[in-house]
Amino acid sequence: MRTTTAGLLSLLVLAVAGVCASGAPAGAQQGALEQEFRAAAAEYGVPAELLKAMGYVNTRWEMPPEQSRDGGWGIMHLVRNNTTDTLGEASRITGIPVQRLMTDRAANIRGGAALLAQAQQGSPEDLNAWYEAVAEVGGGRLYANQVYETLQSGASATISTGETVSLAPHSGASPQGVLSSQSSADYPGAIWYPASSSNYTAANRPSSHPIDKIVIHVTQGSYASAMNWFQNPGAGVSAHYTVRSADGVIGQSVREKDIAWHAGNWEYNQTSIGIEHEGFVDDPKWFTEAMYQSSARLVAYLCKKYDIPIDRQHIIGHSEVPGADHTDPGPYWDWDKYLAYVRQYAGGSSGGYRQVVDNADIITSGRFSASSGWGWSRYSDSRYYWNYRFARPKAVSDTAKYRFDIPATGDYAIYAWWPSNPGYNRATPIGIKTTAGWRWVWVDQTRNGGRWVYLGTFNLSEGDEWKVQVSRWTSGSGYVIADAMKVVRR
Amino acid sequence: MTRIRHGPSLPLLSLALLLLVVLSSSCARQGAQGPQEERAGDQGRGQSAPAQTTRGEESAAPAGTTVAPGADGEGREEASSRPSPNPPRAGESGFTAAPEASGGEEGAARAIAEVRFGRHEGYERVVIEFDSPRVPRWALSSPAGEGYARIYLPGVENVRETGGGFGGEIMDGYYVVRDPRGGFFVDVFATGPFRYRVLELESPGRLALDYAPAGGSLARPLPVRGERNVVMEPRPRQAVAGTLTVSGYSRNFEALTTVLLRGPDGSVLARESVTASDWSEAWGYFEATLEVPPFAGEATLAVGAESPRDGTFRGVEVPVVYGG
Repeated sequence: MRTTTAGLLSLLVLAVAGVCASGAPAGAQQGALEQEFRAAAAEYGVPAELLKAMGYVNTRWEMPPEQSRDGGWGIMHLVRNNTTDTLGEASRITGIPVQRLMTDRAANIRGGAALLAQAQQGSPEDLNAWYEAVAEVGGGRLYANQVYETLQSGASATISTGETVSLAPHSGASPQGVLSSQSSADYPGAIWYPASSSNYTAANRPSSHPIDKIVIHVTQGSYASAMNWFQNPGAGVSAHYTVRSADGVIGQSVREKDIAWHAGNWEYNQTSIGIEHEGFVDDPKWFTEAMYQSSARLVAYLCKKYDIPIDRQHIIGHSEVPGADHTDPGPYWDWDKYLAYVRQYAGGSSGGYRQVVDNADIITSGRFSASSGWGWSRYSDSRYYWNYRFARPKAVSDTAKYRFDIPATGDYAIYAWWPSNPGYNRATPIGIKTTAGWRWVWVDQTRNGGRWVYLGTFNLSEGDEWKVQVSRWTSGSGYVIADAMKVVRR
Repeated sequence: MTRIRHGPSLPLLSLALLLLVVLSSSCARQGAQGPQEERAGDQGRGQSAPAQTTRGEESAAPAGTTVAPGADGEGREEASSRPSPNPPRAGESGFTAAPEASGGEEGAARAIAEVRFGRHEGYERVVIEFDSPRVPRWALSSPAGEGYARIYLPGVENVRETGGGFGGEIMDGYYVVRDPRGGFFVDVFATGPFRYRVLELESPGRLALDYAPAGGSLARPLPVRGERNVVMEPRPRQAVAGTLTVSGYSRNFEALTTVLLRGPDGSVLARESVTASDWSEAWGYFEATLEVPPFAGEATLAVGAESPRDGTFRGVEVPVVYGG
């Protein structure tokens, strides 16, 4: 009976929302996603703009075809993993089956709205009064701050379905400082997740021991499970920081003044900071652009704080610790790029500009655009990161575009990554916007998949704009693939 | 802003009352004569399992039988927790020594939610509870005389328990291991020869594995087990020669497990490091291959890892003899 009642109410609310939408002024045409946000907000009594801001922070309003690396589903990032089950909770509250919450965008938004309503005491009109509920649903104050920053600034995007979504700025929305219990992290923005005191040695560095190096690790497991294990009194291991693959979120488990047990060498432990990176040494897909940049920012902060030189003698891999038989971070870790980022964030020489834009990287998703004519796929294992886009050849102007922020006019090497397959296109056109106009390169996507393919060096002008595009306007019947592009300054 | 709140409807009130009644009756049963069941401690956390009584588990249904909640299975749990005039013995009440068994439903559950242990008259029970109303596909393997049973759960993706000691008369402890082929498996160790029985229970989905002592002695020594390393092969004092596969599971830092063969004089005769299938979320399975040179007397197979603290080797040792 409850389900029936809820269902009738949902229908009523949807009907009302539909009427309201139809009464919108001309020119303010709402897409389906806008209506889904408003209907869910009305059904559960939560602010629609808050739901939209959460959706923007989660996936830039895209509906991911699969779960995120930490078990999150859909635009509202309903999570099911070994520590969290907001997906199941949303199903319980809404009566919507889990499978539908995972795959149906409108249902997923309703699930997120229901969780937010449940977390909130009352239904305040002041958006800022929802802060704690947003933090509870999203997994913390860092997330809530991102949502409120988005509310402040507003956002707009044309998503892969072709819908244009916008969120008006709310100047009154205010991110909040972290609570004292969470501000124990040394690095601003890190989530404090303390290791068991059985797993590190208390000290008073740098007074007690100088800190002169940083050791880079790869977890061989998930971000959450590694930090959970550090909390286990019997683990006998810890690291100061752990960086999450999907979004570069940083957790801190041991204070910098204390000696974490990570290097397998007491002398190195005493004088180093250990940073774990979520992933596996033999799988480069975990080493995302978000993770590289976030980790590099952290290392730049540490190098400045402790006056550590930014070089490979002082920023080393676990495999380079004397006596260690570990192999991390392994052959896929891009040291050149990493150190260039560290130098860049430390304010020194750029060490060479280098930028990767992938079709599905959440952080860089604002730098990729393709119409709904381009499908999503994870079919090929040689894809870059999460998935790739594909389209049938067609004589239309319907390109997949990549946006790069070129620091200064000059020569840049352009690389493309695609998964190859005998059924893909043999003459895929890739356009590069040079200072002399668009230049086109045709690549055979039946070959050379799963690696960076050099397209040439081009003179690019300074500025943040769509610099590279993949076109469908070609011959043959094989799929045209748009996966990842890389630009490196010469 | 319009906010629609659902007031407490009659069906909801009825549901709440029903829940209250069920909880009351459950509490009363536990306080009076609940079975001595413990939540299995997480071995990885170095905690001993507290002797804490939780709720009862159904019993006495034949292997593979599904008992619906509220059916007479609940009632039988009370009966089974009392001293029984005819405690089950090996070969009775569905206990078996069959090397294999299987059941469950494809895709019925994705996570192991809890593992509990209970002592009963004549047998001991471990209950693996899942995150859904039904039991996922499972396959049990119980090699004769080996002192353990392994339950494969290929559809399970997450685990909230990873292992623990039971301290039972016949049931010793368990390990949850990430299966490199997908899913997880659970090894349940015995203290000696046993017969077993498997029950499937619903709402929530649970797999109950019972061990009853079978008498006699094991065909082989039990695997060597330590805090973070378990060596399934070889067994203590086993003869080794040629190409030796060392297998087991571990929880060593970043999944790196090292196998050393030390000769009688302590010199390292062979060494191999491998990456296990896990370490931080659950136990990780490993297999390492060593070429064993001839040696005289008793050598030692050391399995473990360098301490992340100071690099000293920490692990377990398996004595072996040369069999070439």
